[in-house]
Amino acid sequence: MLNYIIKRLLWMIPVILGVLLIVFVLSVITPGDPVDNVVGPDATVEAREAAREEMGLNDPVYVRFGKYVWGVVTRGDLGKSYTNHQPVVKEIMHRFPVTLKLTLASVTVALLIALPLGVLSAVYQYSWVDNVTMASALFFVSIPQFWFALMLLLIFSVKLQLLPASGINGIASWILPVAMIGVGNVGNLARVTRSSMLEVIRQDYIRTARAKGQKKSVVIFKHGLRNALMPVIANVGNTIGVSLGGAVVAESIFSIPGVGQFMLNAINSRDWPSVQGGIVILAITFSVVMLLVDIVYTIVDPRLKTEFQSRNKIRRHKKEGAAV
Amino acid sequence: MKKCMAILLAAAMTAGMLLGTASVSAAEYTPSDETLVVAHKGNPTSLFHPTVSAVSVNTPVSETLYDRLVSYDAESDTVGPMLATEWEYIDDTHVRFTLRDDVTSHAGDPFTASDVLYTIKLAIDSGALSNYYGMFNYDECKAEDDHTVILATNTADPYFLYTLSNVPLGMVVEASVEAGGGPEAQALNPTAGTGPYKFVEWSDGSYIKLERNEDYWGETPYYKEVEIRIIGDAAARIMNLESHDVNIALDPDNVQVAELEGNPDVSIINYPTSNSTNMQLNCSKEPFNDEHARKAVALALNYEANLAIAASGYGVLSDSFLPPASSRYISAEDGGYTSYYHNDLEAAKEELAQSAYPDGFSFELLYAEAPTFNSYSEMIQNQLSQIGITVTPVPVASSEFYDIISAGNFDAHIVNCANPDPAIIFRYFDSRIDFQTMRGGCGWVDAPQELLDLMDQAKVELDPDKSMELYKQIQTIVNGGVPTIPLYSPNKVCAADSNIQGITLTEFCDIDFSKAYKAE
Repeated sequence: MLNYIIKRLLWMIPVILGVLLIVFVLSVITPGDPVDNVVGPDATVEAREAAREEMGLNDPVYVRFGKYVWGVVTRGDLGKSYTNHQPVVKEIMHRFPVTLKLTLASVTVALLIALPLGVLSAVYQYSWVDNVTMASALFFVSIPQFWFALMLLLIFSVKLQLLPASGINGIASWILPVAMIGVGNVGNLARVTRSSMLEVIRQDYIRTARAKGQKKSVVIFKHGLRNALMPVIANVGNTIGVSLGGAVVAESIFSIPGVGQFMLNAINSRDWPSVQGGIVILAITFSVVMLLVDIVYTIVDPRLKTEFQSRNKIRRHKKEGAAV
Repeated sequence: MKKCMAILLAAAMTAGMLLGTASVSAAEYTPSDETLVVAHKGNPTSLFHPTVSAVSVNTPVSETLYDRLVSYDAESDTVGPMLATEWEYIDDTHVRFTLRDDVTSHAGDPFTASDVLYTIKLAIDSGALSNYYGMFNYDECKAEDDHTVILATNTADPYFLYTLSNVPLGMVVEASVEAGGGPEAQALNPTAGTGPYKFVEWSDGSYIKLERNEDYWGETPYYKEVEIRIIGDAAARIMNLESHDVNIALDPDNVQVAELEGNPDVSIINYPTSNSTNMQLNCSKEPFNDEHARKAVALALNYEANLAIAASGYGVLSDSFLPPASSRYISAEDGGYTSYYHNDLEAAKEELAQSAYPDGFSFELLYAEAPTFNSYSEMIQNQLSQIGITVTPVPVASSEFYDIISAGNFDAHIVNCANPDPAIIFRYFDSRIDFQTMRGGCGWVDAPQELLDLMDQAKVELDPDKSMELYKQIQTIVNGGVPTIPLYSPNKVCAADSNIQGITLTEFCDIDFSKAYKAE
């Protein structure tokens, strides 16, 4: 298992380098001159040229990329922001906990709602519960997050005046952003849970458990849900990735100082070091999350752990055989 | 004679401003312990303004932290005292300023004449604001004593005082900058300003907190604290106002503001400005190198309808290439733009028939994506289709926009020009300045020499009457060639709690809430 984790961590290196390359190329081909935001659109040609030189934009693209990657690899240096000249790592790191908190809270809430709804839908397939749940799920998966956020604001802040419309002061202020990201995820996770449960509850061992007189709740939650969780867990990994993206919208609308809003500001001002840094951090986060998901697999389904171990045994035997 | 006129002008401006400020300074309030929450569209790029560009995300914070030498009253279009109590023109290019002697920075250091020179030098060296600081002849600027400073310009500049009132020319105290770790540290933790509010905290991307400067030399602000909350989306800013999470929503979308009309909890601040929104035609290439084609477009547009629908009526029609708030504005009766061009389809068709394109032509209309411009460009498209001209609106990101127009790669574009100095506006018609240097313009290569001579004279003419006469002649020539179409002068709009008073405009028509107070 440890070997597997190490291998996965090593695989992250080419992934991150690939992400870096793509983002760097995009920053080069995207129209708009970052110098505008540093010296202003009305600066003289001389002032612009001096700023360009200082920002290293006169170097060939491959030199800039090489310097950037070297800085990342050797010093963990993601460069300095073009706008406020602060180290990008520092800028991102004090925002990252906010984004992570928002993402994890929304996924947790989504799971807490989606799992029971998905199970209920499967157990009462084609009943009104199933129809209402799945129609709602489809609705919430389909609506644009941006529009949904504004509707939440309109209803709960403007009309009912129950919840704050912006900022993060106290638990109440987290409710709307978490709901905004979480509700879309509820729909998605509930649909996956339902289809996975439907597959499981038709298995022979479920029928056997029922025939042996097991309580319905035990059959569903102990035998059914546990075995139906694998696709759900796989989906949670993707959901966290999607939620990291959703945080950009939530942070922008609800005035939350997270990585998403930082990147949005950076994109608007063509502050490429900040954009690149943000994407690298999010890519690393997503890779780590996917690794954790794989580890959770082995906890939920011990057969996978045995598989890892037996694969390693076979490899060891092969090596020994080759040595003989 | 020129010197006398200049002194008279300065005196008139001073008197005008004193009268202007009298109404504001007599605010009917006693300072409170309340907090003013302002919804703002973006995160500032820095809080130390002299070394960064003058972008609109910085202004609401900078204007409260930093005072300028002089102030500008957009409503009366006059310049008045601020850190300088009086001034006199020594000659056309040298002005002596007498400074207040009771001003200290937020860190507690006294503000003196040497700080004026320090601020200017710092900004010139940064290169960030060359359009503001390029006119200074720094070698001839000098401090005569602690509270008297002479500022010199390279050429006579009738709008020099206006420029000094710009937020990017806010003064900083050198001792506080150095004690506070230099300009880079000040960008995050400013202490060197002398403005009505002091910096407290910046949660990057979320909010900026300020507190009242209890030692402020001017009138003590009403609010004890100000929280500037960064809310990127315009609709969300308005909803924050409606839910009473904020007291003022800056830069709302005009359509949303129109929907707030009649809401008793909200007041709409709607000020005329010295901004003008123009459609620049690229006269250096087809089809707009043809004067008749340009006139056909100008005659086919329905300016009133466009303003009412695209800008929701938040603006005024401009009879001139300058907005009505400009001191050099020329009305229709005096031969302004609309005495030449107004919605007249028959006349437009006649002009088109005389052009090289009697059956019509096509062009792309470029603009930086914005709801008002989206709507305006669609209306232009519809109106010009009636005379056989096909318009393709091309919205682009604002950063991309300036790259394109700087390269001259456009047929026509819509742009907002924001400067009370007419010389800056009329640079757009100066064929000696290329697209790259101008960062846009209309490439009017056929501009008559007479126009260029008049512009050169007007740029340095200090006598207001002579200046007015020159700008009249300039506008007559420009009207004849119509290289640019003035669409309207947008108002500055914001929405606030209905009991908040004292919201004014800065010199560049940004909302200034530093004098805001709650009416009893």
